[in-house]
Amino acid sequence: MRANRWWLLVAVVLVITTFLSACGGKGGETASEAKTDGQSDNNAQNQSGRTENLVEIRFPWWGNVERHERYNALLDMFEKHHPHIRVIREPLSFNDYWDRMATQTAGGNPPDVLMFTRGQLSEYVSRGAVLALDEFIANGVIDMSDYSETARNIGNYQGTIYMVTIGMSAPATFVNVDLLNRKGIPLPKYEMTWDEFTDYLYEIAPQLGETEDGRKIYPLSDPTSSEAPISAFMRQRGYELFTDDGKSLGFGKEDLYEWFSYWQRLREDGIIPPADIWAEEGGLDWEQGPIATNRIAMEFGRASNNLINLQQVVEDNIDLIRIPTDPSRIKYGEIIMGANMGISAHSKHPEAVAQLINFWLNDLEFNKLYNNDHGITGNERLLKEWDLPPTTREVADHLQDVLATIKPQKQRPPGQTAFFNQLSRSHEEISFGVKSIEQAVEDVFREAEKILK
Amino acid sequence: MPYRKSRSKWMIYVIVTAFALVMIYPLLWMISSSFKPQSIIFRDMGLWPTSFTLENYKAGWRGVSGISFTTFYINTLMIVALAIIGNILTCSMAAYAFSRIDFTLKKTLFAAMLATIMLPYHVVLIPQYMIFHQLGWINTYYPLIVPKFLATDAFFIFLMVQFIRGLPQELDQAAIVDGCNPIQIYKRITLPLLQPALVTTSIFTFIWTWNDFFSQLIYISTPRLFTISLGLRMFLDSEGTSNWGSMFAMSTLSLVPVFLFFIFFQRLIIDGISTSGLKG
Amino acid sequence: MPVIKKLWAKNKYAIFFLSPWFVGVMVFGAIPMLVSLYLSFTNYDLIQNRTWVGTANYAEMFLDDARYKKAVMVTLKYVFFGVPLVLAFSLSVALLLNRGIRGLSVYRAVYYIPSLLGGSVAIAILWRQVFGRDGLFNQVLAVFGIEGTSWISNPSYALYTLIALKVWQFGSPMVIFLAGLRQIPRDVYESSSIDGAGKIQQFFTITLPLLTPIIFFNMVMQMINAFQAFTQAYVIGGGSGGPLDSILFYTLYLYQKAFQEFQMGYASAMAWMLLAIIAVCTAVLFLTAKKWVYYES
Repeated sequence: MRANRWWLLVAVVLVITTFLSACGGKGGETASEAKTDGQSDNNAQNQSGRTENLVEIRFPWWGNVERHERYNALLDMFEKHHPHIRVIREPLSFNDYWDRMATQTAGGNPPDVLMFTRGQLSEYVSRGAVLALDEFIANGVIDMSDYSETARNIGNYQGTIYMVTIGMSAPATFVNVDLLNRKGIPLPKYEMTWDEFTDYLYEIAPQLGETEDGRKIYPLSDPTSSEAPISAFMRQRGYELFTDDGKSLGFGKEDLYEWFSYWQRLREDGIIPPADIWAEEGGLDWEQGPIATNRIAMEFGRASNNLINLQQVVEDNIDLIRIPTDPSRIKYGEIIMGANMGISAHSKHPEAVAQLINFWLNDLEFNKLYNNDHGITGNERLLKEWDLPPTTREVADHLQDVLATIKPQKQRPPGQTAFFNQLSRSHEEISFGVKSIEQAVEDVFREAEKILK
Repeated sequence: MPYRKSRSKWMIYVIVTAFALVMIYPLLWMISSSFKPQSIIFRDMGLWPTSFTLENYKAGWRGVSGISFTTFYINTLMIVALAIIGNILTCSMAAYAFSRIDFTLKKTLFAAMLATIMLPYHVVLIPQYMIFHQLGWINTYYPLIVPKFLATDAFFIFLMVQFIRGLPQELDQAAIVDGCNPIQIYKRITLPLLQPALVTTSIFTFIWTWNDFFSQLIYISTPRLFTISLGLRMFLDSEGTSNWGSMFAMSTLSLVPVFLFFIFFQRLIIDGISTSGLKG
Repeated sequence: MPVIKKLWAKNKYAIFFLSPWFVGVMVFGAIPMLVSLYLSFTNYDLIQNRTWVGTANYAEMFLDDARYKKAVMVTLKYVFFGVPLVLAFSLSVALLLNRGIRGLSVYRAVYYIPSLLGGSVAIAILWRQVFGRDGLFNQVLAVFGIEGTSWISNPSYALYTLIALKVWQFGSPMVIFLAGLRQIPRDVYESSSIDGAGKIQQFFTITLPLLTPIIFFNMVMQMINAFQAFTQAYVIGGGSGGPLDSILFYTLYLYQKAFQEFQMGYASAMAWMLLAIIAVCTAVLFLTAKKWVYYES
């Protein structure tokens, strides 16, 4: 009967796959790997049979295939220098990383090595998930003697250092130099005031014309709801985005109104793309993004280290200029962004992770392979010793420039994700003409009150 | 008369074929992109590749962190096979009870079964994760397989209940008269007649398990244990360029086994049930 | 004791058949559900805090959350447009294919392929290739002289592209309908032909009534499925809910609250609310089922 034949097929498939996986799984791997459950375990035997205090730490990271290969090589290098530490590698893509991080932390099973950007640092730190690093730094286990005061305090939350930077970047305006040259447009200056910048935009708008397939080219991107641009704007007025206690917004309604109005004016005058075009194209990135497709000539307030990866997929030459300055108030407002590394508060082997962090921050060979992947290293000694490739050099110079001229910055408070989501929504509502700017400002402040209390 | 009949038949063929082409356009686009060099995938708008390459398949198969898609395929096949067996066995048992046996609290338990389908996954996710963590099953395949042997896919229970309810009771009654107990009736009468439903269950279990990524993402963290879904997701990233070419190539390839499974088993549905069993 | 003996006698076979399911339901169903019910009355933030807040979450949901209302509207639209369309398509095509066209299995397989692709990571790009500004849909419209916008990023139309995506995957319920059609024994048709019934009459007196349990099943499952739709909206909207929250499905909003804003207590309350909505709708369907679903037994 046919039913029997089909049962047989399933059973055969099962037997074959079990057999294959049993064979494939054992080949060339140590016994402890074959049944790892991600927990650290002491006194495991390594392959040559020496019994040591082999310590295992779990290290998840986000990235694409290239980064996964690179990090594997990096961790191999680390393990060679530290034979008693084994790093269990858990590569992921960006969105998946956060799903798993949240689930594991909630489920009581967080990894040992933590990597956060500005967006998540305060959420996890304020909830006790991250170990304080002051002691490690004080007694030199994590050596930060080659880091400036600012760089050292990137991961400072309410007076204690919880994370250290493994790569910094500053927001810059990306300029498609080749495109401007092709259209015969003079290039913008490296440093311009807001007025100069706005005049420049209006000047070049009619000269930009269309792309090869007939789409209009706009001078600039739409940065209304990105953190770095709006931070810079507020900081130039002397306000941080949030108050020190994190319970309310640090700026006033008039300031937000001015911000929204400025970009709405630019939108209406055709300087930045209108809502429907931006909804479709603004969300795409890299080789599909608006710079690569020549939809915009400049991109405002983007993390400077992105230039390195972007330049690899875009043929046109792209340069960095600074965010517009405000000489009448506080001239420079940029904030430093990038990725940070830390130790889980529940890790069983904090010293091992500390050693990994120390190696990451200080070893030249390591950093050459790491190649400033998440941002420029804050280690000034390394930067002097190292002969950087040209694009990286450009990013590093820009960063040094910014670091030298900005005031210290504050950490985001917990709950801020909801604020930025609301900002994004208000931005859409204004640009699609669904709400007035006054209403949008009210919405943002009301939402902030709800979430930041 | 014959002329008119063949014309309407011809019309049906035209409509059905045109419709089919529209349906698979996205698939055709993906397959075609998998053969284009990555740099022109989004610039070359046509379906036929202007430049043909197998590089995406080679690079894609290499996989991630030194683990190739061979491992991913084997892992996934193993999980899927076990999931199918688990579902077929336990869901049919539960369905039989719900549709052919009368027992205490039947209505309540039936409602409970339906309720488990209705609760959104993201919320039971965390408590379930904690339970698995307590059992020490994190980073193993147990969280993906054991629930299948505990009839947690209530969808199939409900499906089989509806099928069984459509079967005439005369055979069952005849068997009872002959002195069979419910277990024997289940084995000898219901299960064979349930074949289309069992096949449907297998097909759906195969496809859903093959494509499922969220539970695999949450419970498996070592690349060596990755399934195909997790492997595919590795090609995408928002921080740098995604490997679209590899992803399309591997996605295309990963469709092949599912598709073959479907084609092979759909014949069992086609051939229908022999009606003689019902009369006798 | 005699009571227990009676209960055992009545239920021993049921216990045998149901024991795996029962264990599963208790461990992976009941306990997590109860935990999430408890969490819905707290302000659990996924990592640390867990204090009792009573009905505050539910109150905020109904009284003070504009996005919640939007999410409900979006999901209801999706259910009320999507489910009937899917059922209509899948039933019609199943009937068509059941007639015996040449190359039947090829067509059936082709119609089923979209269901295989639907949940994949590639679907976001593929769907943009169809409904984006330069996509297939607009190219077809251009043939008729209509200029299309970007459907997938337009707040007024984005939801309909997702409904189209759901209908595109009608292969799943279609396969179930085919299985149901095949289960109708051929001799029933034969004997009614002998009695002089025509094809159309047979459809309404034999096929449709005998198919009602399957129609009912597909209806209920598609509805529950539609209420819980997540993956497509997540992948296509990038997790954000789309332009102006136009594809902010209920479960997507729930996911944002839980995993992005660390408000797991609130998300649990949302989940139970969804369960209540689905339960009510399902109960209504079951009640109406008595009128039109025909069971052989």
